[in-house]
Amino acid sequence: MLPFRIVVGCCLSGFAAAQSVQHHVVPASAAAVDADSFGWLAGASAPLRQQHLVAPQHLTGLVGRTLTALEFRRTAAAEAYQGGLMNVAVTLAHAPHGPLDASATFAVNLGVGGVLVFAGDVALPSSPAPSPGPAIGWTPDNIVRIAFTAPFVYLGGPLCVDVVGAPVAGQTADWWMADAASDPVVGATTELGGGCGAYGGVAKRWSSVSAYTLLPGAYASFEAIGPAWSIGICAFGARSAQPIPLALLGFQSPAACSLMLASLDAMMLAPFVPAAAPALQHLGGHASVVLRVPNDPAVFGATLTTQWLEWTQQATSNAIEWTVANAPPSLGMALLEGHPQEPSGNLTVHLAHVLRFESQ
Amino acid sequence: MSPQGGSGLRVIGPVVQGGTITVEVGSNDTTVYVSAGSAGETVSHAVVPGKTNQLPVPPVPGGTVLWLWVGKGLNRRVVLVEVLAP
Repeated sequence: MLPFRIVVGCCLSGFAAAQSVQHHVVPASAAAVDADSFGWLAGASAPLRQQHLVAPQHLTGLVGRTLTALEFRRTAAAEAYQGGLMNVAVTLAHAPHGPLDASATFAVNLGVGGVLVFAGDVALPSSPAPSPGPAIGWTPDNIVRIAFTAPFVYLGGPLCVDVVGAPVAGQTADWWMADAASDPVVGATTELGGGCGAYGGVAKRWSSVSAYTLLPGAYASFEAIGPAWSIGICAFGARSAQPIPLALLGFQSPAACSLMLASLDAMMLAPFVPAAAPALQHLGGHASVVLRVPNDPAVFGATLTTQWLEWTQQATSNAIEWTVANAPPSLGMALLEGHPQEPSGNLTVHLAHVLRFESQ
Repeated sequence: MSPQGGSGLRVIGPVVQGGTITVEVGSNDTTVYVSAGSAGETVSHAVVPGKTNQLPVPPVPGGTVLWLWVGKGLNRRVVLVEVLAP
């Protein structure tokens, strides 16, 4: 009888080990304390698609385990959050590439073999203001929990977490911010002037590039404001030592228009697209040129200058000299956000939500 | 004063002439635009990835309504705030 009991006991303990529930926070540094940023959640207040790519070094403890739930913890801001309800669909996939090779197109990051692990309504809890201090627990009042209804066994490699959310009428939570982590790596920009025309306020500063997009693995985003449906020419080259008046080059340009480029290495056209909503069309058009910054040492620290020319005014924008960061972000995550009806979105490799996976 | 906005973009506290605008951005957008009501008066500011962003109030008269927005396409979020005289 004794050997039988030993065998049964061993079987039960082995079963318990295999079924033990574990929690795994990415990034691990935010497991018990608030990270340095925050982010909204897909469906809490608006239709939104959020796709995270997680590097395998964050997930070694999950290899071979079945993921059973995904949780987001609120940020530790000293305010109460009103609860609500959102409708989400969550798909997990072994991604074809890591976060620093992420695409701005959702489908590319999902690859093939994605598993729809949940579809339905999820509660956002009413959450009182947390106690002061960085520590914040994964308690029911603090988290949005999505318990999977289909299993997903993580086999290793980059993981894609795709969440498509829609608000539930009358039950939105307009400001329920989840914890997010950022990386301090950043590019650099220098304003060179040269802007003219009817846009950009007093300084005629109607073009911009965010230093947070000048990162290896990111998409550098060059943007400009101008007349709706006009065409912008976005020019790239080396910085000019002296401003070159556009009038000298034969343009019928407003005063103070100056070319700040000593060379023209590339030019791209982009339309100034007005907002779809009629109430916003007085804000003019928005032109955008996006360049992939490869995660390649050859571009670390690379410098160029960008300046726009708006065609109807023959006006130059403010020129911006910009420099790619000297190293890639070490966050090991990427976040792609966009509208569910659009195939692509805005990718960041320096900012992503804090995620907690439940597994067994 | 209650925050103005929501759904990924909001303004905290009053917006006073000569002061700053405290903006919180919940989306991953890296640029926020501030307009005094016309396209010609629109300027952009980089969004820092921390909790809040401090932007200068443009030189406009008290009572002017500012338009702040992030994002593009269907994902654009807009908040309107009034500039108060000091």
